[in-house]
Amino acid sequence: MKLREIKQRLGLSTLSGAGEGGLGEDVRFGHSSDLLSDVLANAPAGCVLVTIQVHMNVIAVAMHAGVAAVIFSSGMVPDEEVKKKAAEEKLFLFSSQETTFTIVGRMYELGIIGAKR
Amino acid sequence: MKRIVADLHIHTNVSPCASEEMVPGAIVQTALERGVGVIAICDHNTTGNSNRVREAASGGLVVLQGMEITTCEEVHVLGLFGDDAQASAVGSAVSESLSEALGARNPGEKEDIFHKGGSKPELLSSATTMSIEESVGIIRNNGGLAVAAHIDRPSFSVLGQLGFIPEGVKFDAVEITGSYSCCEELLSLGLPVIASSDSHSLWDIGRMCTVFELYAPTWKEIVLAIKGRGGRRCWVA
Repeated sequence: MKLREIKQRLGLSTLSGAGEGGLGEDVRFGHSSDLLSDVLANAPAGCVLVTIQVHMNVIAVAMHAGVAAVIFSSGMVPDEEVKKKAAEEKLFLFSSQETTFTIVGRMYELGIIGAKR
Repeated sequence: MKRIVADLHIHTNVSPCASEEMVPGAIVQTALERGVGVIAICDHNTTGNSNRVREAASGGLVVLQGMEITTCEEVHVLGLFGDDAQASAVGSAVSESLSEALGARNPGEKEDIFHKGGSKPELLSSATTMSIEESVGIIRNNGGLAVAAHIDRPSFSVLGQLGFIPEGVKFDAVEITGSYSCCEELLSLGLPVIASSDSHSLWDIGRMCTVFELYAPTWKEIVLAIKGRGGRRCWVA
């Protein structure tokens, strides 16, 4: 499924990213964790990460793990510095008012699945 | 030089997770019985109770002011201080940050919800809005030592939460509280290693300690020993 469709279906707000063209990227996998050591160890490459953690290290870990996009749940929004860093890295950051549980459930309904790294 | 045993991470009953028995007199008495010569009081996000422990010690035991900050990444960072005013300054900043974090999560709550006597003292150990970098920075700018707490534990440690020490974060030391077996791996971090009990009950006090070889059991000497200056040193035991 295209990132664009996930964004539309879940009503996500875009905080940073690689522009309209980047939304054409295909995504098959999702991962959810607030422990970045777990993201590093277990998030499948190219996945959408759902987390409530909004600090700068999320960007570094997402890049290292090859995450395609990060969705911040429960209305959590990072500060400008974090958004700027993500924009430099062309990493999509989205925010949603929904909880992690709801976001993950809705993505699963759309066919996005979990996987081992 | 002298050798002295230090346990630099002890909670009092102000910490919501600590046992009610962790009152100043009992902490001092237990430490002295177990041959500990220096302790640091490190409650969650507050320095509020360390003076009471020092008063109870009345000079028989060296009591340092400290604090265990919960960063926004849910990483525990210890600040150890030699100066009461500087410890209080950091304590106030952390307290404000915690109010802000709790206010954001619980709109409508009063500012003092987490203080003992407030309506929700159990929230004292919650995450503040301060990042690891900010926490280490404010501790060091106020003359304190910043220590990566219980780095050998999977929960609430910098290695457990992030898996690495972020670039630009300058810890003065890392702390182990579980067992000595991981010491060798930690050497690769290139930072001094201390061991402490992270006591939440009297039983814990002195369970893991750091031995200091220094000229006198003072703050300045302890700092020099952690940095390994002038022949002073410390090791875990």
